[in-house]
Amino acid sequence: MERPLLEVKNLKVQFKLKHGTLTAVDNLSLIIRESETLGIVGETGCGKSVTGLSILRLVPSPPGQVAYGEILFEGEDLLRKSEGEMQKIRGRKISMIFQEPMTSLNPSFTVGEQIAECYRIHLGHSRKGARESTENILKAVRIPSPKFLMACYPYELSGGMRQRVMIAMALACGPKLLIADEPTTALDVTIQAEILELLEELQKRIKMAMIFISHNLGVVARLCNRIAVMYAGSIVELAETSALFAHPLHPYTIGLHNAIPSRALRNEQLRVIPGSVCDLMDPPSGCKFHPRCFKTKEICKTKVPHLEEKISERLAACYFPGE
Amino acid sequence: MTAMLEVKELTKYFDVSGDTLSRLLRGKQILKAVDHVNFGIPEGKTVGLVGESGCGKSTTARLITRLIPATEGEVYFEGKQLLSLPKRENREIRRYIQMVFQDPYGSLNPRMSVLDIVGRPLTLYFGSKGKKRVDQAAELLELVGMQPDHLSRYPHELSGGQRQRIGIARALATRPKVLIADEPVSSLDVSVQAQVLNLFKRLQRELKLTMLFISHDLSVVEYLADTVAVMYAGKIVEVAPVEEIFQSPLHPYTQALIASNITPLSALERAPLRLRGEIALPVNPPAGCRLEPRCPIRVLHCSSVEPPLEVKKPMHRAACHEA
Repeated sequence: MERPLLEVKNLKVQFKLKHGTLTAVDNLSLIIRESETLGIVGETGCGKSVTGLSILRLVPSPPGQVAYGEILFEGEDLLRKSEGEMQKIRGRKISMIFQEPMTSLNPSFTVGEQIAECYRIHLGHSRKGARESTENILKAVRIPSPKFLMACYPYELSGGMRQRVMIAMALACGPKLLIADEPTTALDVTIQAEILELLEELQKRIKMAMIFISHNLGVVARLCNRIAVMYAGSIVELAETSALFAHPLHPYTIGLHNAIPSRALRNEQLRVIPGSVCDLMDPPSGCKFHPRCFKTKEICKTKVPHLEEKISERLAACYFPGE
Repeated sequence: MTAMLEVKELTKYFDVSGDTLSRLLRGKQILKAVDHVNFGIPEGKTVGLVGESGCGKSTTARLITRLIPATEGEVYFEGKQLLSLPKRENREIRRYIQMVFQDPYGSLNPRMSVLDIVGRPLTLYFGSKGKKRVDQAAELLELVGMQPDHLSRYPHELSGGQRQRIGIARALATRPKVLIADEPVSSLDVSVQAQVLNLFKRLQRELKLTMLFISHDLSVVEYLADTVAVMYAGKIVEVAPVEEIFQSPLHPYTQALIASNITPLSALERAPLRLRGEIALPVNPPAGCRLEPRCPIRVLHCSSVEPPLEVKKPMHRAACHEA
């Protein structure tokens, strides 16, 4: 088998806080192949963003730290790189876009200056060359009049435009991998549809891999080849998109699926997952989902289930997978 | 059928000209946030008001509850015009029309215990004190699916879902006939959202509440509403019963909204994009249809003649020349 583009092995990320240690990501392993899109879904606090940040070594430290694990990118462990080496990777080989573009853009520089900086630092372009490249990349993200936009400050743009600028900046150096952390959550649905279409098209064109993090099952289903479902810091299920939605294996995935309202369910109550997300400072023993699960047995309370192949190509961390 | 709550020509203009200098330079800037809106809610029914950010749906809610004064228009509750009522009578009637807010963090006073939050309206409207107040508050908590021991807690000790339940309990304390819910589940995770939606469903059934349910999420509205009103840039563009509007939407904006609502079910069939460009705020809007710059089916007179909201089919009104 060919070497995957990115391989995360047994990653564990902890935050040392005043009143204890919080395990945000626990024993997480995944691989991303060249030019595929992997979706990570889960609810608030499940560790999906921290996973994305730790790949780029952006977890604020202290209090955060990678306690264990390896992150192999093109065969090299990113966790062993020096800060200087990481600088050369961020934005050049791996880029990231965030939920709220306003906080990721610098308010005191024009859009043009900010994007041009990527070209000058990473690719050593001249000022003039960088300006031309900036114009081209803005055209690529379908900004109607790039010259005009380059002279604008971020506050002058709408949310959708800002997100386009973020995407342009992330793609400027033709990265191998793009980590998109809830890039459309702050946007209205019609704008979201446009941005998703844009991302899809650009990804095909420049052949990069993408990790798409979202809480929205629909958006992930639309964009991704494979989906990892996270709960309380661990991946509980990983499968091809169509398989995951047709036959979810893990009880949590089944629960998430049932919780989506629709017109067909108007005359019934939604089947909810009882209880609430566990305390990450003091998670339950065994399977972290067992207190909320509808098929808990003795073994679930004592022994942690590992993410393993249940049916062909389908991974789940559960002793009793399936409906 | 007479409506329990009826809104007639409701209008709110904001002057957004800024300081004297900008007023001189640019002239008067009027934001037509809500522009001659009409709809009615029959007793025991739920109207879902949908639209994207800035379309005026929250302003409509605030106008009905008189949290902000209207520029023009009337709101009738059981045949009585609310907006011209003197203060004293307004206080009386407000008991029957209560509101649930989007942000369960911002809408509960952090210094008040749950008992004080839920007990306040009980004291104000029914003069409940001491043990009676505690008992009534406990009953309300039970109604929204919480335990009486939560009464001594403070908002920061509760999860988002629990906070939203408290917000609902507070609204129900005065035994309202009309509940106005402004994006009540938007800040909640899917699994928690499902729990709160079930609660709303139960309240509809058990208390026969008349509801105005505001949301940008079509799936949620599809699940709860009997009738759906779609707003764009301060105008209602389409109103129809829920089945009708989702099966045969007439207005291009409604069609685009439905196509952009990505659920795991709809994700695999890729609907073509219908709208391009940005959502503009209705500041000094031009004479014609407000969707015209983005509309895929516009014709010549769309930019000059505003389409009225008119009956296109039985029970189905839309504001479009071409629909």
